[in-house]
Amino acid sequence: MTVGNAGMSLQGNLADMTTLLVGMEEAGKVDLAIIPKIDDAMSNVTAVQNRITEDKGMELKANFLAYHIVRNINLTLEKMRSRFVAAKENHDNPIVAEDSLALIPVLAESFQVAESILNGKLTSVDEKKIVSSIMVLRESMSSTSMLMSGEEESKRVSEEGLAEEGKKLAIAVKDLYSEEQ
Amino acid sequence: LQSKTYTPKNSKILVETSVLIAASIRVSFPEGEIKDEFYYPSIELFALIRKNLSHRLGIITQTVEQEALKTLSSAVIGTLEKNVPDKAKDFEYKSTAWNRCEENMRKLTNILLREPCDEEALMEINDEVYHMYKGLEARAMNEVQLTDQAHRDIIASSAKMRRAIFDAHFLILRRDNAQLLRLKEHHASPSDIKILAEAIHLKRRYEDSGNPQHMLLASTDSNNFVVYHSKYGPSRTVTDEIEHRYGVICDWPAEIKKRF
Repeated sequence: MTVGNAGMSLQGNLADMTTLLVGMEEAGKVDLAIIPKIDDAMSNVTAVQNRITEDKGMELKANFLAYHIVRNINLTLEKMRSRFVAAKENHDNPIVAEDSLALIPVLAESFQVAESILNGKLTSVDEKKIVSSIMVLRESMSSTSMLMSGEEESKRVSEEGLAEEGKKLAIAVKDLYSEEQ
Repeated sequence: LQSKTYTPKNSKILVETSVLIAASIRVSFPEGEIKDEFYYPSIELFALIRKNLSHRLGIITQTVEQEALKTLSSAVIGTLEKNVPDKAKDFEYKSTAWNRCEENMRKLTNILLREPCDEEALMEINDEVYHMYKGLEARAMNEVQLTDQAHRDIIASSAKMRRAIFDAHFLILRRDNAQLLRLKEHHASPSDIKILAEAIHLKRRYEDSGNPQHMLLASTDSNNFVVYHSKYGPSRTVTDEIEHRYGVICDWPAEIKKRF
């Protein structure tokens, strides 16, 4: 599968955002003109995310890893948006611009990894490489304060579903250790 | 180190992958929470570490951190199922649970001291540890046998009792060597060997810098590190060998906590 126009547009959105952010950094002041750019980026990421879950031909593991990367990019953009909106009252000006500027190259690289999975250049054989790029993305989100808190993130899904997933995960960990033991 | 008493000032606890994972697998919500089976003892050990932050009681290495992240991702991937009714929802739950547990792990590692290891020095110790495990495996193959006294007891017993006496001695043999016998089938992995080598390396480094420390390795891995509890009782051949050779004390999180 290919990410199509949404992928191309996202790279364009990130480039536009970079230009605005450089200006903000130089001026030492947040410019809310970035909000529509973030919104565009989010709708393009959401389009890719939907294409991933609708795809039926792709290997499940690779499909999920690509989804996890793209979803984390979306969460970052959402957090970035909320920080810009509240920058004045939270005295986050111009730190939010600096943090965003530092994070955009990581978002672009992470998206490239997801694209490589989706067009078959990376497969589940490259799991190590993919997982380590996810860790770089999450670490960068954390170090730039763009990590949405777990509680905030969990509010989007049903408690029952998340509880069920928690159970499955606890069992999977147990299974992993019993395979070793 | 002369003192046999463990204090936060004279001890370091190296948190092994299994404990970090156990303490991170927790998804809570208003109605309740889902946890790993070793969650409570592991999180209580972290509470002790947090209480003693100024003494830098809890330590971690890059190997443990990377192994833990790798194990978490493998576990999430292990929950993937084909033909779920709603793939979008299913993926969203998995991705959320992964992020939550990873966030828990990040918060826990933040209270541990990240100790760097000298790769060159480690190579030599790694080799020593590898050979120790190979030696233990060889012992499991060749030396786990009934003692001469057991043979004498069996021979001296009446024909009627012989089977029962043999079974009793065999049970003791199995109980005492259970951990060693498990090594025959569950060899120490390269990362397990490396983590133990790092504990030894750090212990020696503390000694060389004039600040000797008790080195405790907190783990739930009973093949390669901590006491194995079988239905017949505890078995600790491997655990004792590590302590005897290297002075590294491998124990379950709850047992380590009790020492302080």
